[in-house]
Amino acid sequence: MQEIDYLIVGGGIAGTTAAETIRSRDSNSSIVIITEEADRLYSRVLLPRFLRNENTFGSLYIRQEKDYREKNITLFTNERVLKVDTENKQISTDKKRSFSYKKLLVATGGKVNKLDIPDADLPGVVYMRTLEDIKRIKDLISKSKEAVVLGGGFIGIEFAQSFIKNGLKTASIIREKTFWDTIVGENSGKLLSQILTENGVKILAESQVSEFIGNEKLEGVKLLSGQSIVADIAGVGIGIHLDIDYLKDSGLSIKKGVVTNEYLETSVSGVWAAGDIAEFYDPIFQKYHTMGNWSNASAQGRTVGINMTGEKSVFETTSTYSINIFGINFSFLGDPSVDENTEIIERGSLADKKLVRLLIRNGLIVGASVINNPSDRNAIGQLIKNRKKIASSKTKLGDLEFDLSTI
Amino acid sequence: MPYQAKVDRNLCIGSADCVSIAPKTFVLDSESKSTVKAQGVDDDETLMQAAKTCPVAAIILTDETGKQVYP
Repeated sequence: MQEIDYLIVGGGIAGTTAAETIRSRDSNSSIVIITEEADRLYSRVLLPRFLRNENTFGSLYIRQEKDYREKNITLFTNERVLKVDTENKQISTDKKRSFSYKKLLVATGGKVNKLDIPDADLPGVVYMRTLEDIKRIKDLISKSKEAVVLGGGFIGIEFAQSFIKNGLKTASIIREKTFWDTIVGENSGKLLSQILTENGVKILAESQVSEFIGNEKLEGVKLLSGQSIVADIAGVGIGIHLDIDYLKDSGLSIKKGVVTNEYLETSVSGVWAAGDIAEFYDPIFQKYHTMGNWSNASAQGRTVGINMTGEKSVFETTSTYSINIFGINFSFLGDPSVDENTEIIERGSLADKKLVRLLIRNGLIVGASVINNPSDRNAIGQLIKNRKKIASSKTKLGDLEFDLSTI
Repeated sequence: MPYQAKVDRNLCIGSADCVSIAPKTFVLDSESKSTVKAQGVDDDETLMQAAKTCPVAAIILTDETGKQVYP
């Protein structure tokens, strides 16, 4: 059995950043990353851009093989960890190999939720998460004329943009009234839907697909209403679930994700978690979060790398998520959750085609969504990070002309 | 001479990861794109970290001879 000093399960941005951070602080210890994916680190954020023909396949990789070699980080690909035994500090994989570790990081992120309806396994039904997914989608797009998108979240938006950019007639089928309205609220949801409609996406709101149609090849979808829509390709974006099943008997505390303290250390000493999978304690907001985005994963990778080499650094961040929707900037900052104590203030309007939604709790801005008003980004980021008490009136905050950086 | 940084605005999506890692060098402008506000104020390691964290590989680093060191 191989003995590893730092064993990292998951080769995404959290695991890779952690490995690099560890190496920058510890030049001699062995570092091994095990990933079930086929290759080295690539950017998930770039995947939709590849579908839109904005970059080359090679540019999706944001580490080269030599980067691992030079840092003496061993990467085992196409290997899935099946079991983690924290009592004996061992893991075993689907290649019938076992490793023992001194320190362990779990950073396996999430997997796409798959639709469980008739004929969901037809080859034209696609999901967007990995490099392998994107290859398949690209190939199918080149053979398709009509597309449907299932799901009203970020991935749904990416699918719709990618199909339109490739000249496919595109219909988005969403359960909600508007895109993403459960997260960004009614008005911002309306604006997102408006942007998509203006760019040629036909939106079928408050609709649901009951089955896929086709033999061997996708021919369309049938809605609960009975309506049928012709499609050669169906992009499904209905969220992810965290990859935690293999940790069931590990001894780690698991709720929504792998529970950690503010240092990203789990309930078991010597085991850390980072990225989408970590349900980490946030000492500022005094609650546990999971956050599924690139910025959070890379920032946690850095903090956890520092902590695994013996320091105690508290993980603090203002999480951000940005997406470009047909040339319009959309950003989400901070904590997106809205509870009974959250006050919502909107700046701008549908008519302005600019909408900023501020979430305020206990006199502090805790989160915001910003559509098409990038000049607010900096100021809001600073206000969240510095926990600046908001004394300005609601009317003032709601006025787009009011400069938030003067608070 | 430390690395020189440049941001490809066409690639930048304003995730601001570089701004969190190297705030002395990078700032978001009014279009929510990262831009270099000062050269030579962060060490090479910090700049490399910022460049490597960028989800769209929009940060270009060059050394004193003008040779591109990242990406």
